[in-house]
Amino acid sequence: VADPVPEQEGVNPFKDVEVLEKKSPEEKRKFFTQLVSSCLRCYACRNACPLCYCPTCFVDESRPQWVGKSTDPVDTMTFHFLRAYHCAGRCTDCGACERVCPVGISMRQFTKKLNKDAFDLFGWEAGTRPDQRPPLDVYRVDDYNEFVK
Amino acid sequence: MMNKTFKKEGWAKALEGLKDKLKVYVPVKEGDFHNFRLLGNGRKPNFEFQNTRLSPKSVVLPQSERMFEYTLDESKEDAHVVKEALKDFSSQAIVGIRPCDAFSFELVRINFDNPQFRDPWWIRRMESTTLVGFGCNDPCASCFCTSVGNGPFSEKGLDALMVDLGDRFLVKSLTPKGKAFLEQTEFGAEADDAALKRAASLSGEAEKKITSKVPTEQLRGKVVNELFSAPFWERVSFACINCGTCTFLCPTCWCFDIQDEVYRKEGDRIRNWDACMFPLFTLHGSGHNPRDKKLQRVRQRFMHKLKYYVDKYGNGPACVGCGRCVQFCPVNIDIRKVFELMNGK
Repeated sequence: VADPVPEQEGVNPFKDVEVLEKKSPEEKRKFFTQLVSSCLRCYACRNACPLCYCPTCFVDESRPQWVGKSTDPVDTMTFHFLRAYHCAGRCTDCGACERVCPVGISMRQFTKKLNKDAFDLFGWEAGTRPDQRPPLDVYRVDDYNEFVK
Repeated sequence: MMNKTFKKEGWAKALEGLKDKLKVYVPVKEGDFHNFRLLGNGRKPNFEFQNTRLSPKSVVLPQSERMFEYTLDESKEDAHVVKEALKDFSSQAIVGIRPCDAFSFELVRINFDNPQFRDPWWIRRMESTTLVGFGCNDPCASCFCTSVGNGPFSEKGLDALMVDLGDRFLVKSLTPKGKAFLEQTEFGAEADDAALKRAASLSGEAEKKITSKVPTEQLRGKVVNELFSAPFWERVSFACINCGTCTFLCPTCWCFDIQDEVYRKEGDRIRNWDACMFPLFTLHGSGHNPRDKKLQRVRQRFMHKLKYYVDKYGNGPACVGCGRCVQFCPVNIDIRKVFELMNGK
């Protein structure tokens, strides 16, 4: 159908994450607060996500109820942060979450940082090795953390 | 009644001048889309849009509203007494609301204000709200307002109507409330005949641009149980991912959930928008869920709007044809198709 396209080289997929990493904790907080400020809690991101397969999501638990249901920014942030951490090392950055968001939130800003960490700390790219368990799911003797040794 | 024209920057200045007298909600561009925001804090109204991403229903029915408050501190005299939380019912205006969204308040009213139940907060907020509509010169491709009882220049539910004449806005008052609003504005001029004529022709042109039509005439005569057990729900609901996009974006979705939130010894009773697409919506305390399958939930949403509402109130359907659910459903479930299926033979 078409000629082969040359493999791209020297592509940095984490340019935006690097910008974010340079911010101070206060600036980061401001950035994330702004990022999710328009969130409706419709959970389209979660429901479109191929990773999200829990029978009952923690935000839907009612006994006990972990997260408030109102539009309080703390609850909205809790949802987005916990979801992102829950996907750490498993998110393939497919982008389904952003595509379905009715209010255009770039929630990949959360997951990409975690993807970068998984790559930097464990040399792990989710979705590339079907025969291996994700890094947060296994014990490795060469783990960089002292406490697990 | 009163008709005025405003140069475009004059209208922005006029609204700016009103913001100390009442709360003025205007369409504001935020990133790629518009939403209604309170004028102030340097926000600028922007009338270059087809429709706002969300309808302004939250101005009257906030997504989260503190209904009551209480204390559990037994050292206090009023411990465990549930008291009404302070609310703001001061005058407000929604300027630039599309006729479909204004019409939605008319459809929703029957739920909040009927002989059996009166929601005091919804009613008082509606009373303090002036709706200044904005005729749709260029309706979206997914709009079908003309088949569900309104239109791009419909005046139903509106106190005034703005028309974009290109270089200026024509603003027509339609009710005493609208007239009072217009009387307070500066920078306007008495509308001339040419402006009124131009508005009338824009209205006619806009109606012709709406090519999406849905059939509704058979809905009332249908047998509920036959529609309920129709085979097409399997197909309609197949792709649904159970998110709340359609419900939260819908101007006529009014369902809410009431929750108590307690911090230390102080508690609030809050009502939040809820969505019948969520499994939690109907989860009983016993653990039983009468709608635990998505087919049941999807069916409920359409049956409520297109059949139960119609039967119960002799009105409707409870859809204004704004097309938001059609545009933003992540899996392209199209209510226009459901109209055809439900209305079909």
